[in-house]
Amino acid sequence: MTGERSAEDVLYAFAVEPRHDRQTLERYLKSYPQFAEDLLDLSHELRLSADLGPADVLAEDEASFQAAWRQYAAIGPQGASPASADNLFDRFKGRAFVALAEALLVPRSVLAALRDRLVVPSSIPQGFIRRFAVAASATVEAVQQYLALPPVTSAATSFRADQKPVAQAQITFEALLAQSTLTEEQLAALQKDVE
Amino acid sequence: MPEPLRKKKDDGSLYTRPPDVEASIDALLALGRAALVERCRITDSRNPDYVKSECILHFVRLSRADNNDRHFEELFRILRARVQRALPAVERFVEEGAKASAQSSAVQIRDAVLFRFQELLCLDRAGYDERLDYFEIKFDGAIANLRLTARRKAWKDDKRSSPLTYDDETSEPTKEVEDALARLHPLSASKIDDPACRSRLDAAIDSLPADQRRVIEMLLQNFQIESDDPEMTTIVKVLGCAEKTVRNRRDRAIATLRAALAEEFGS
Repeated sequence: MTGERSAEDVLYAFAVEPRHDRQTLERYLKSYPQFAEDLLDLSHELRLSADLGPADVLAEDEASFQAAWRQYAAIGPQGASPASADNLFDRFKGRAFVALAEALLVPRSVLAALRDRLVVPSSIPQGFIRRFAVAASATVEAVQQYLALPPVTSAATSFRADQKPVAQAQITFEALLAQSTLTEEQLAALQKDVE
Repeated sequence: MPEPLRKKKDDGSLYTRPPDVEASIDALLALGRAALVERCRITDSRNPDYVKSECILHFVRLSRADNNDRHFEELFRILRARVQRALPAVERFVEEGAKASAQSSAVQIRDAVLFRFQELLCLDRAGYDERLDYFEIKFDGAIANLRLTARRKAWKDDKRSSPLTYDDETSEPTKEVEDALARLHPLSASKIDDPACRSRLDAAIDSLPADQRRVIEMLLQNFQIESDDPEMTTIVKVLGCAEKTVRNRRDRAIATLRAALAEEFGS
């Protein structure tokens, strides 16, 4: 074995070993002394799950199940071309746009502001960008590139006769949320992003 | 035959599912979708028709190339329940006084594990995430790893908040502690073969501080504290601390475990 594998890889490999006896543990401790503490912690976790028996399954509340399912279903099966910075929102129009907002647990107004790049990119928590990338089947880089482009002047604004079409100034993500009405579920999801 | 896994081992060969998982997937592939979902709904693992979580995950992953959302929604629901079932019921075995806090931390851990598992599922649907291959090999083991990740943050927080009230280098092991260790040893203590006692011991070990818990974990796996043999894997070597430190951690741990398990060990 080599010492070049990541901690995550080594721990998963240990977790799926057929046996977790002294020999297996010793082999891993010798091969990956740099992860010794993690391996011992995992060895303890594996003992717990073998000895204690399954946890009681509390029926999941339907709302959080549906949120998880919508997020998963919104990704769509493979074969759809991965989104890039240029076409990130092309696949999210109409109902798909609504589904994406629901999957992200944000009001549509917040998603619209992100689409039109009215948010200061550096103010958006990394956790949210990751969730965004997953929900939109894009890479984190593509999402970041998209958000870093200049703000969009929306068609609706440019055709309005009583005002000159100007790109709106960007605001911070925090300020955007402060303007929005959020449910508790949405707030909790957004708080997790900054943890 | 189900599609082979893509995750490679250290030596470059591909991981494979255990033969019983492969055989079971094969048999289930022959069923209609409705019948498959019915089988996956069985929660009693002693039922001969019970479907292992490894297989259910395999069927959910097939949604990568399939648009039948109604079918997958049901499997997805069952899989999330299986993630919960794979978590150990620590809170059931702690002392009365600690139950409320153990329950609330169990809920937090469950939510964090579900959250990370969901991330993996989504990444897998968007592309192919090889990490999910581990869950098709040994679901409970891979979930134990997710649980560990979820708990690390809590342990870090603990470390920050608990003041150091003891000194690793002081105090000698007492006779009483040595005796307790002998009884704690899984091979010498017949009591530990009793599953209920063993579960309570595990739960008590679980609440020890990390440095003490690691010493106990190595003792339970029969590692020696130290040895003159330079080839021998010892606790001192693995943890990189002095013998006395190891002994002191062990003694403090055993004192805590004895108090927690006063009923079993006698006080």
